[in-house]
Amino acid sequence: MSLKKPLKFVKLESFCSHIDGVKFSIPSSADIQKLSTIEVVNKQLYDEEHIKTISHGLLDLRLGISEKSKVCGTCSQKLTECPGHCGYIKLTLPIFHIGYFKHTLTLLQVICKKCAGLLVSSEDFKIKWLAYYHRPTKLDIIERENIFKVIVKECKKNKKCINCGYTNGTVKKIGLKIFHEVSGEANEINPIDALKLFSQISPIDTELIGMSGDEARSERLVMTHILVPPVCIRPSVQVSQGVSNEDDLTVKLQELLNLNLLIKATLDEGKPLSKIVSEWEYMQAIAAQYINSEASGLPPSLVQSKPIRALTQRLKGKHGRFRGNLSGKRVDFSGRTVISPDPNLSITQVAVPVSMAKILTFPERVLPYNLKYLQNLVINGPFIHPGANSVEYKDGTKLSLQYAKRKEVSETLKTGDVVERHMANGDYVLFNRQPSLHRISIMAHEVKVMNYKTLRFNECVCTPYNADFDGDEMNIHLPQTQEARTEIKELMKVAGNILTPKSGEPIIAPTQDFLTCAFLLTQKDTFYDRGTFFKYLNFFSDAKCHIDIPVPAILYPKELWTGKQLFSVLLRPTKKIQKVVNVEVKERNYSGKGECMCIRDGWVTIRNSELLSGNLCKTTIGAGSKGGLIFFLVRSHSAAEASEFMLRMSKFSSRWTMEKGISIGISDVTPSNLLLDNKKDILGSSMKECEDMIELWKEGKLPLKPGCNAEETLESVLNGKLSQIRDKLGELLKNSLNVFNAPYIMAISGSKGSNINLSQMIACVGQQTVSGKRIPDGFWCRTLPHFPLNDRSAVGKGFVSNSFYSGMTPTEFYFHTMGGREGLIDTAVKTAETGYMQRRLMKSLEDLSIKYDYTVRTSTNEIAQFLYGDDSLEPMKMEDDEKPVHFPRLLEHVKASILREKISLTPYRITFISAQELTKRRELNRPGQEGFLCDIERFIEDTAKKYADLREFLGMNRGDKKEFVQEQSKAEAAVSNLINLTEKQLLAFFHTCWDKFDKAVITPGEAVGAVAAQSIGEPGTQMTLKTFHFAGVASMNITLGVPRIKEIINAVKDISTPIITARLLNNKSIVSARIAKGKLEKTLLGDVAYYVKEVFTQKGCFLSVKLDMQAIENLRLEINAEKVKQAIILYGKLKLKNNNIIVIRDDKLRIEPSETSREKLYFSMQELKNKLPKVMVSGIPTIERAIINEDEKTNKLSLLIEGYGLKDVMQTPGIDHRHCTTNHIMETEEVLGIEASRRTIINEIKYTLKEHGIYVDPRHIALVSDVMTFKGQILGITRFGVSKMRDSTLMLASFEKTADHLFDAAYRGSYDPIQGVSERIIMGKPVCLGTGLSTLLYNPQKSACRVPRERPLLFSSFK
Amino acid sequence: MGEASGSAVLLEDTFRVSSVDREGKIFQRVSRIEGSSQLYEVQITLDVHSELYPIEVGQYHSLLLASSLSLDGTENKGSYNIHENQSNTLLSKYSYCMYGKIFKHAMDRNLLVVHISFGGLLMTITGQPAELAQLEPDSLVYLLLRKLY
Repeated sequence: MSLKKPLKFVKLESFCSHIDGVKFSIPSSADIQKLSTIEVVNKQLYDEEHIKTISHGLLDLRLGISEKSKVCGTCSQKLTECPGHCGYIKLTLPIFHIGYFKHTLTLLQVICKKCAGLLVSSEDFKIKWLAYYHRPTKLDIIERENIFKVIVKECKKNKKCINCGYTNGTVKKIGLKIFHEVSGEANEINPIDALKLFSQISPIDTELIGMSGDEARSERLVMTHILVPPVCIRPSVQVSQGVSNEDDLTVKLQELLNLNLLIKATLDEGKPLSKIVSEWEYMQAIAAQYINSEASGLPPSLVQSKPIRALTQRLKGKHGRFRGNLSGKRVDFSGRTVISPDPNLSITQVAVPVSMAKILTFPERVLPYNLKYLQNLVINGPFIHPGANSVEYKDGTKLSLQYAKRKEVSETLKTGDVVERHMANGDYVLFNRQPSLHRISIMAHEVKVMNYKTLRFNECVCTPYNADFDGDEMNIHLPQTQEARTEIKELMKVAGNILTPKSGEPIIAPTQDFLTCAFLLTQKDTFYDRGTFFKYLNFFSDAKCHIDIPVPAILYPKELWTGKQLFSVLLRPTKKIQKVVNVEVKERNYSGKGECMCIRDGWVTIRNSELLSGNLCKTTIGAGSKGGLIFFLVRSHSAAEASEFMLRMSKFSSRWTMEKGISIGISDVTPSNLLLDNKKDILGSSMKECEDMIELWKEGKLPLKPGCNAEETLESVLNGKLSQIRDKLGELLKNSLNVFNAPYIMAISGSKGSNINLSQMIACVGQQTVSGKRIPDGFWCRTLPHFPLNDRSAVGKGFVSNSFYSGMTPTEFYFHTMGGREGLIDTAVKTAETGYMQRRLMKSLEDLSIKYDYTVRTSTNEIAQFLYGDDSLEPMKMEDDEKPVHFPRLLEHVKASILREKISLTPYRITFISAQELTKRRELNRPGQEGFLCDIERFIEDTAKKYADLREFLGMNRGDKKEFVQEQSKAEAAVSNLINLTEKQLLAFFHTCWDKFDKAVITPGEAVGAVAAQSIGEPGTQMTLKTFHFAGVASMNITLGVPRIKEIINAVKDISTPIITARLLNNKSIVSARIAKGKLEKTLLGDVAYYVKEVFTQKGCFLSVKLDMQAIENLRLEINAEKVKQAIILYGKLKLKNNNIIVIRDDKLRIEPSETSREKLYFSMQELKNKLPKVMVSGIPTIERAIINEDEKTNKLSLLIEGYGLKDVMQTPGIDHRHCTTNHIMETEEVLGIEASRRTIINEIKYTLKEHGIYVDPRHIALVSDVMTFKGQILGITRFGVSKMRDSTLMLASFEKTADHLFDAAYRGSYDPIQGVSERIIMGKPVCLGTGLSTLLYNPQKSACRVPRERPLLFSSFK
Repeated sequence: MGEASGSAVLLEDTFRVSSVDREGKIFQRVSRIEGSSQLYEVQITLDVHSELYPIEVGQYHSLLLASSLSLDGTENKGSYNIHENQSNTLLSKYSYCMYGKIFKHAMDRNLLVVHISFGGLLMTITGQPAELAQLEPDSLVYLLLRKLY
């Protein structure tokens, strides 16, 4: 068998030699020459006629070709085969390499400019630090950077060389030149000098400054030769005969070549030095531009408005080589078109247009069992749908079926041939919609080839893709190997993704119309006669499945079935289905009392798959709740079951709704008279309140809120009051509209819209806000010129009392647009911001995975967590409270679904059986299970106790003692009706618990990092940029939303709203709280001074300060004149001495200016008068204010402190230092350490997400937090942090600062072992996560692999 | 115990309707009635189809809960049979009949509340636990009503 082309069925790896790692180094001039085929010396590109390229020019044919018509001069191959060949330019004079300019500078700073020795204070220093480099364990990135810093610092400090005694000066860069300043004289160190110095540096010294020995010699930092890249990467474009457009690189190289020749000529001719120098400088700049056209330090004359696409520019950025071509590639076997909904498809399917199916093919190998099938496909050919496009024979020849004699081909088909057959029903494809924010943006669907031109799928699957059908397009990919196909089918199938890995809530569930339908169908007064009922039964079954018809709920006087019965059948069409559902849910319209007897029928009880009470809304069958039906189906039965239910539901809904008809009209939004009256009342009373408030404010009698001035108080009170009006009306509407009102149905059932939307359409649009406040004044003292000056009224500040139905006034409309615009801008800004955040999170967490010992490690085997989430359980498989089983629900299910017996177990027996089961389980000794077992134990104990109590209450024996003997009696029967728990049921309970726990244990290989990154990043898109009020305290805003998440993740030092929460030692007394507050808050002299007066007398001039002792007393400050005196002396800016300040009384002091000369006295007085009020007399300088907060429930007092200074706060008397927390992560690290800051990160992210109503499993948050802290210091998820976490050059280069990382790697001579996700993608190797985690320890094929043997070279033995 | 024989009868009583839709009429065709029985002193709450069986406050109704419709007390199978012969059953003696399931027992202070659902039309019977012991959870029941006066 020839191995000319690797067959697609087998991994490429086994045949080809593969890349184990990448070593970076700076090429020496010899290396460059070795790589090259020719030296480029001719500055001309073409000959005179512009037909042929010139020999030894930049477009020499031996450098490769860029046109189809030509043949390479070196390898004689055509454009598609020739890889291109390099050339080189020998530089007459050396120049600095711009990429290593920084390194060159640092190197020159640390060596002696005479003998090139390292400027250390002693040899011992060298030996000490060299030892670190030679440690057997690899240096950590942070360590390495620190060592480098230490050495550089040491060398910069020492001026005198210990070898030669030469006194060095400082080395600086100006533009692209480097100067050495010795005793005020600046000498240029030109490239020739640098080259000379660098070649003298000893190998030990090079190692000390971070260059690893042989590959990276310091003299290579200076360029003596330039490598000319092959022509094919800088193709010339023929514009017309004789005119061609050259690539930017060719142009620059030509300029360089030109200059090089010029300098040579100048040197040869012996022209003046100044001319040579200026030409040399120019060449330096051009060479810099060739490498990086955006380099700093280029002469202004060369900086173009549109920088050229130089080497660096080709690599960096989104469309650069790394991100655009290596990390992400264009693919074959994919398709894209508009999507549309199809409720008749199962959630696992996707309908693919025939036209697409005919292009996307799968290479299927001919085997005896599929010969017939493939022969038929071959006969069908490329134009009839289940057909084939081409055949590849065993010998590697390929045959297109378009023009072939297909009949003959089909007959000659043999085992081992490969048929490129059309995509067909039952194939699995990847289905994807951008932006792919989480893993469920790409899922595997089963193909259903259908007519028409769109990709179609069940609407239930819209949520994970975040798709709608307003013109969205989506992509499909057909995997090309059986391996890939199986892998996507098993790991990425839709049915496996009904629950989101973010929180374990269902994300694929009936939506919109399906909810409306379920709501209407399950109304209490939906009755169907036999004909209608039977017809509806066929809606979901396609008349194909067996249905057990229930007995009608009303038998007489007329047979009538209810909608609930219909739903029950839909849920469980036949009694043959053994698995049953037991769910009890408080629905959205639950009245709040009576449980299942709720008068609005808002309590859903499903028992043994029978809907017994309640109307179904979003909570029961919709997405996003763990108490619902879908969740139960997936968790207790199987995803397939849930998927079938969803299919039945969507089939039924679309048909049923179509027959029933649901539509919205003007009558739906016309308010009733009753409502109008109510609106009038509510508006009237609210307006009255507001006016009273404004009146109070005008009189200055408004009681202030803590930490607010009068104006702020008024605004916050009015805004709060006015914003409530809309909600109040919405609530009113919810109770007054009837079930024939379409918007109401939609709002209640949760299919679309909310109370607010009802209210805005029918009653009142409500208060308009811009960044959380009422409409700001756009004009002088008013919002719009339609209102009087200083108008604070509701109408004048953006309250819209009209509804969309009644129509808005012009001013109202204008205010409404202001609010609307904010929303639009918000979304626009947010998408960009969260996108970048997501990318950074992903880059820093991508290679974390679970290893076989359940630790979480990076690709370089650094441990981020010792046990994933502290219990090794998978977030996706959690029920309530982040635990794998919700015990009460499970117990109810077990009790309902397993046949009851006449007599229930006694409480004693319950605990006895439970103890037995638990002991058995404990013996298994599974990791992380102990907490779970304790939970069960507690639950069973509680249950048994509850039963015992009930028995006692009914006047029976408690039954929780061993001695108690149960007897058959009427009382026992009665109590069994209530309790009803049998041994079988209890055992089933335990069995299910173990099963669920074992299934919840996370699988080794799981890419937990990526999932965590997505789980934090994806919700970001749902958050608004708003900041909200802090609990209870109106004035204290804290940043929330995306900006806050950004702050936390970036580990920002200067956060916008730092708040310290401090508990008080005495949390009952307001007085002691005030004292503590006084001690904390920064108080200026100006705040407590009654006056600061200038006094001019004949004897002299001074400032007289009187303290407002009343205010001081009220604020419980400890300030008197003596203390103020000390504060003034300590306040550096005034330069006042002890004798300048005289304390007159306890509340009075006199300050004399230190400057007493006639000219300056007055000004000195003025200066003092201005500055004195700013002297801080008490408190902590970093704390702006503190607010006493009273807990509403416990009435305990605590302090909320705005500002930094956790340490100072903790030391303040009266504060309970054990309970002081700050939301500032860096400060927490500083004061309390890394573990505390880890906790703070978790708490802060959790809090921020919670404020936006987003629930994310804490395991994800903890992992992000661990990654930020596992290095022992806080590393933000930014370019700085990531470069400290990861050592891989390729990964860092594909993240940010591409060129810098590459040059740095070359300087260090570093080696990238290609282990992480990014690197492996770049190299086209399988990633070491998931199914790629396990590999063969020994690969027997490798030895048989055809690696070319190394041939001895002619003189190699001579060495 | 009245006309129906033996084991099929679970509860037979007469009750007086004390209220109809006490908390307002929410559903067009369903009314919730409340009443207290004369014999067993149980409280009854019941949803009925108000068009098929209109009920007014103050009326007296005879109520029968049975596990089977047949007069001889043979068990019902719980599935629908179109051809079932309905003559000579309990139906002939009553004017309204529903079929449903006992699904929940709960305690309200010292009284037992038995919940029955007739395809979503709910019923509760509140009484002494011992008196209602025959109403076992998950059993299927027929509810028959007849207006007395």
